[in-house]
Amino acid sequence: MPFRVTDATSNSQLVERIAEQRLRISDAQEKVASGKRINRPSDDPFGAAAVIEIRNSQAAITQFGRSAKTVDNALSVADGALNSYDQALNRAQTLVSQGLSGFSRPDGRQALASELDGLRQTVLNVANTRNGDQYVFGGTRQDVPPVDQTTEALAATPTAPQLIQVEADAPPLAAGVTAEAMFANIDGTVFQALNDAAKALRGTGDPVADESTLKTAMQQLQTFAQQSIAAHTTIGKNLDAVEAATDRNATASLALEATAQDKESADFAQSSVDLVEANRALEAILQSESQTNRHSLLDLLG
Amino acid sequence: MGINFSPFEIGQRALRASQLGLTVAGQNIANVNTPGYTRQEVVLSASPSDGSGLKLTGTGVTIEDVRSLRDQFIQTRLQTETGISGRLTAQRDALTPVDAVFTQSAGDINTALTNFFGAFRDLEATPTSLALRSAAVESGNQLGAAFGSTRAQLVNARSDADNQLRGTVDEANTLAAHIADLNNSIRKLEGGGAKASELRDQRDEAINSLAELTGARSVENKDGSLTITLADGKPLVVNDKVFNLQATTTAPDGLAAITLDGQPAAISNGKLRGLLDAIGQIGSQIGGLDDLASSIAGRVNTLHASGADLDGTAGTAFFAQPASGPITAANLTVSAAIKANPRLVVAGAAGAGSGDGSVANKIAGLLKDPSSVAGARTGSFSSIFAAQVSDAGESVSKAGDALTTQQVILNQTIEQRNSASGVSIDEETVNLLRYQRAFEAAARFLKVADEITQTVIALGQ
Repeated sequence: MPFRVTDATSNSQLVERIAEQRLRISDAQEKVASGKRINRPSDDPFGAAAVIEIRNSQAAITQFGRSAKTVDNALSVADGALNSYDQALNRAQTLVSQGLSGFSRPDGRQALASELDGLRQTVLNVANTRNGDQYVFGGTRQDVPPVDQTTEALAATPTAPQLIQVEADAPPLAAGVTAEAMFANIDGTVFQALNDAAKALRGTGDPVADESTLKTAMQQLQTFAQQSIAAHTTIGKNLDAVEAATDRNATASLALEATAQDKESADFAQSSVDLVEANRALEAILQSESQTNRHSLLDLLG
Repeated sequence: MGINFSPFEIGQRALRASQLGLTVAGQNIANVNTPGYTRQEVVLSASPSDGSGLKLTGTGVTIEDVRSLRDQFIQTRLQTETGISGRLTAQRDALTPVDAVFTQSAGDINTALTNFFGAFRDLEATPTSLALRSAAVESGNQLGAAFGSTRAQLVNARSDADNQLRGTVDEANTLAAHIADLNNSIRKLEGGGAKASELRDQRDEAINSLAELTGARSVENKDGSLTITLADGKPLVVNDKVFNLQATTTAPDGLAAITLDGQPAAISNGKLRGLLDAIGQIGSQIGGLDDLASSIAGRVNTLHASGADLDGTAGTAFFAQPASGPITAANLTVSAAIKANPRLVVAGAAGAGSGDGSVANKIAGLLKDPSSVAGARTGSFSSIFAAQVSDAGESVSKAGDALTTQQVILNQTIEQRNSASGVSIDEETVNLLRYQRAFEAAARFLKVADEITQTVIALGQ
């Protein structure tokens, strides 16, 4: 404290003290009104940066969530299509089996052949199933149908399963299986097998060859059934992976939200206490100044 | 016994001394609220004695001086602290709008960033979608708009500070001219033997104001004039001669540089220094935004050009390259070709088929990819932007904290100055009382002396 306290010093100190308390009040009011501890970067620069990063991570998780739904949907549609395919394969095997038995008559064998043709068309439709504007079994090749409608040949350009990332720092998941994996193998396509079986049932004039063809077709159909089971397994595994990723994303998002709230949100109780304290302090200053002897000797001398 | 008229002289001197004391007390009271006023006091001494030996008698009181209680050391310190305070205040005030810009832009740019990279994440999941390509283009537009808007606000803040700088230079020159005039007046008055206390007070106030603007220092010359210099000793005022500061427009941004006599002026403190520092800091923020925009455009364009569009054609740059100069926050725009035809937006690798989303995946991953470089910063785009926001906040916060600390020091210095030179009404009231009593006593003394003299005269009749 200075040795001489002049009127200017007293006045400026009073103004300072009032201004200090008004600033405290303004600060506390802002926190209470906004509910936030950080209302501008200067309130807590590092906290503000941390909140930005957290919000971005949350946005990324939300985006992964949308991707996960897309993958889940694609896999579910593929799985459903495979179920139809399985039914067709089972029926085809039954028909071929009937054809191989010695009890079918020529007109019965014709009926079997016709039904096989129908199943072949069903499988063709399954192969070219669309989900929105994408071919379910097209993989990365989406500009042409996986199987040509007329020639029943698989599209010439190579393809690979569509890979979609559904979680940060994790490899992308396959969003389906390709037509090559489902409807073809080194021995040919399922369409060829069904076509050959239908021809054999109609009769080529060589019953021995026809029987051999039917047996080969049966083996092929069994192989394709195994491929379908493998595809189901892959799809099932990926559906589980999507579900697990979605759960982890949800957990991570909650944790991030808690962290963000912790950094960003004002302690309402503390802010309210600060506000009350600052108000009281201001009242005390104003009252003490009004009650303290502000007279000078001049007033007493009259 | 002769008539001794010396008591009348003594009484007269006493009355004059008391009157002067009352006048000075009145002057002090009248100026209790005058900024920069230095209180005055009457310096009295006993007049030399007359006679010799046992007949040695006093001759009253002599008015030696009416003295201003000015402490030059405190005054010099006040100039220094005022200069520092001026610098920090100007810096804080000029940077506060930046805080507001980044409060808003932290939402705008950040939202635009997450939406932009999110659009490519969506495209990865459905790479054949034209609608999602259009959404990616739109999000690119919004990203450019957010950067452009934020940059424009920073440029405005910098321009405002620059305008203030130019205005402050004019203000400083006006003050320097005023000080030069006061120097002249004081020199003339004091050279003629008169007191120039009030003029000195005005000059001290003007010097403090100039120090607040420029951080200038003063040195008193023998003739009572002051020389005002900058940090490197170059003068602004020498006696009644003024050397004007100039605000010279410089390329490439048209900002002002301060010169004195054609050379860069050494401004180490004051509002000018604060504004110059703030302008530099805002410039860094603008540069940071430009670096970030450039880095985003560079990495996105490189990836985009590595893939194939919806029709299998090789990709091109997603963000347009300007006709001249680099991509900055001011010119970040989606290429016109892509805007016109969203089919050109790339999702997959070249030759991988239209159902491939691998390039879109890589672009989406850039938000959190830690290997990006933007100027001197390395990290993900998310962390780089967060660091920029943090830097902006920290510069304002530091300036505010430094100012708070400096205010305490300045206030203490002002209190010291007030303590040494300020007016206390209580003290002046006491002075009024004592000089009033002394005046009454002197008047009474004169009356007694008169009565005695009358008696002596009557005896002789």
